[in-house]
Amino acid sequence: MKPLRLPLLALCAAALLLAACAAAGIASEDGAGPGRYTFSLILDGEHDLTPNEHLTAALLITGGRLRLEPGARLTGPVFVVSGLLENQGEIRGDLTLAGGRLVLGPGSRLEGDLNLAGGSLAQDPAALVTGAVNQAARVPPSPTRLFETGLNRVLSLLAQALIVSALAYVYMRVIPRPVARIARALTGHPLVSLALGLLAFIVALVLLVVMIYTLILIPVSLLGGLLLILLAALGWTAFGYALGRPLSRVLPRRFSRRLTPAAATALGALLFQLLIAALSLFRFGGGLLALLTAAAGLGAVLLTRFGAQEFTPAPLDDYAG
Amino acid sequence: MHTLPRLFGYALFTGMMATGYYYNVTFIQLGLYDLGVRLIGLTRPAVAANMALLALLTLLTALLTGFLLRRTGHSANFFTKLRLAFLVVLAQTVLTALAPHLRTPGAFLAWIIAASLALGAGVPATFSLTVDLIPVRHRGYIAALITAAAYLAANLLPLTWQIEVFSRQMLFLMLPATPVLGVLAFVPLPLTAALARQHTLPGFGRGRYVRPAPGGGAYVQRRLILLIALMFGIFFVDSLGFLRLLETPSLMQTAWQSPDYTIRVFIGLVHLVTALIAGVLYTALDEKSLLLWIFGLFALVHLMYTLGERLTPGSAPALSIPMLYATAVSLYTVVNFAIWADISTPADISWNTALGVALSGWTATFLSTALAIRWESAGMPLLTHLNIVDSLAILFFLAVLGLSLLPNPAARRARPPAPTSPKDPDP
Repeated sequence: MKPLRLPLLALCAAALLLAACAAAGIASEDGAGPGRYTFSLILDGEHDLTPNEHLTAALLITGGRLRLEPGARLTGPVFVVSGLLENQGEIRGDLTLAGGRLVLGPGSRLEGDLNLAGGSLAQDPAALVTGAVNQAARVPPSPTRLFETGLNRVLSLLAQALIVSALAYVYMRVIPRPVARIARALTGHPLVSLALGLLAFIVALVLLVVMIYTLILIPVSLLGGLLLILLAALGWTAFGYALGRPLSRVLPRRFSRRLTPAAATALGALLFQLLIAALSLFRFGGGLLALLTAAAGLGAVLLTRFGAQEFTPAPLDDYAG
Repeated sequence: MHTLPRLFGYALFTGMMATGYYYNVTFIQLGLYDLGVRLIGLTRPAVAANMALLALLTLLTALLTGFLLRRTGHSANFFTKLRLAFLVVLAQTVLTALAPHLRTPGAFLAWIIAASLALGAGVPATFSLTVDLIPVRHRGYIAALITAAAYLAANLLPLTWQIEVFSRQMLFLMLPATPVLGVLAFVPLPLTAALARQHTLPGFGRGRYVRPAPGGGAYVQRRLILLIALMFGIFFVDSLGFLRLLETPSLMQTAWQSPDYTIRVFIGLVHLVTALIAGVLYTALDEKSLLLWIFGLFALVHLMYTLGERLTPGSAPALSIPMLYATAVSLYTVVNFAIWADISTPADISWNTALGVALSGWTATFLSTALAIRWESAGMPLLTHLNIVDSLAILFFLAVLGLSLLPNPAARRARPPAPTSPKDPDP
């Protein structure tokens, strides 16, 4: 099998980015069809949607005030990061409150989900929300966790495991030596890897969110998020490498003989992900284990300068005098 | 046989330093300001002047004490240092009890002078106990425990930042601890006799960054000067920024002074976790990497505050900002507790810690405190203040980045060669 080329990987990343950008927009209501998206931003000032006024746009509020008077209608996903949104009219689409203030008056109608991840909410008892009300802990972190039924949960975890395993195979085919170095840093210095990985995660996540605030850097933030995921996957690949090598020795010879290093790594990564998935299903801290292993993997990636060099800790012993 | 004295040494050092640091960040930095403004009725510039005097006298006393300890050979004497620490704690206990009762500027000034003398003597005495009580390979972890304990306590207690409350809390700790410390310092015990010998053991006395000559003396000197400059920068940037944040209710009410106790618990836990991270990284990485992280974090944090002020002036920032702030503070505090002993031997540790901690830590902190108060009294807008702090942090970050890119022949000679990669897989 020919190794995947980097340009193909870059093309996949670009497609993913375009899909993410498209998902953030909304088709125009005037029937122009998909492909035309509008986006509205409120930074400052006081704005009113008067009765019978319709606004169709994905809306981001980072300051100021927007009031929907009775009879006004807003169509599109709404994100409140800061500022104030007062609704006495109708909102069609999901509304996410991450900061600032949201007031749902007695005549308010929300046809969509209400996602609460921060800020303050004042909701009149007569205000109507037709969709689900999601608190921060239940806001789905990934599309694969949208379904609530047990079977779908199992399938989504299995899909995650297979994706990581496939990525591990690709990494091992394209950059085998860096993967080996990362695995040695991980197994030789797990605590240091975890410490650096946690620090990097804290800073990276905050930095990505801050970039969104600038608006101009939203694409950079999306790319940064993608890079973080790919690096975490590289770290998980190192776990797969560490598991796959001893695994290939215990398998019967007729199987191990045909197992390439990339396949062994992919198998190790798959088993590792299935273990995490099993712990998640039985609520034995699988989510925490996934986070910690991703952090440790990321830390090992950084310690080895993305696998370019071996990690040697600073010496602590006395020097010969 | 050695385990019990060693563990006792860990506990003694951690307890003393954590209590001392908690005293510094609460009673001294916050309590004295409250005392001066609220109880005595001084203007903010007047309080600033007193804090600057405190910094200067503490520095001079620390330098004198450190110099005398080194000159007389007592820098390596465990009992001398422990007895000096006891006298300092005794003096501070009395001063802590007196502080809430001060009502005149003259009494405040006298208190400042007395406290400066005690604190100044205490810095080299306590920090230099590192070579007696903590082996080199555990200094990062112990520094992490000290940092975690001090900041966790500082965030959880007290609920109000007033001198009376600070005083009561400190006396609760100091009153029982003082006689215990006195017994350890003056009564001959097998336990303390064992501790007194530890600095002669391998792995205790010589710091990990101490290099032998030739050129070793000059190398340590350059490193010491550089460290002092960089740590001065860290303390200066932190205090200069934090004191202004302290005066901005919208920034404080959602973080360190939040009426919601869970937020203060969250920040305290961030300190705890990041201090432990810092302890692990201090042990494994070189100090330049850590300094890069520290300055980089400060630059990012203040950038976020200024961004918030530009986009939504006066509104409460997200909790992620104080979270990052707490991370940066934990990192540099761990470095501060461990680094001075790691560039020293028992003979010169009292002088090095006097220079390092007093010059970079105390002087920078209280000078910047005075400057922050002065700027605020002069009407400098919050955004301008934070811009200056951010600029300083960025400049220091660039300086450390430049230093980290410069070749370091001494370190390259000392470091063992990287292992070759056995059994690299076939592609």
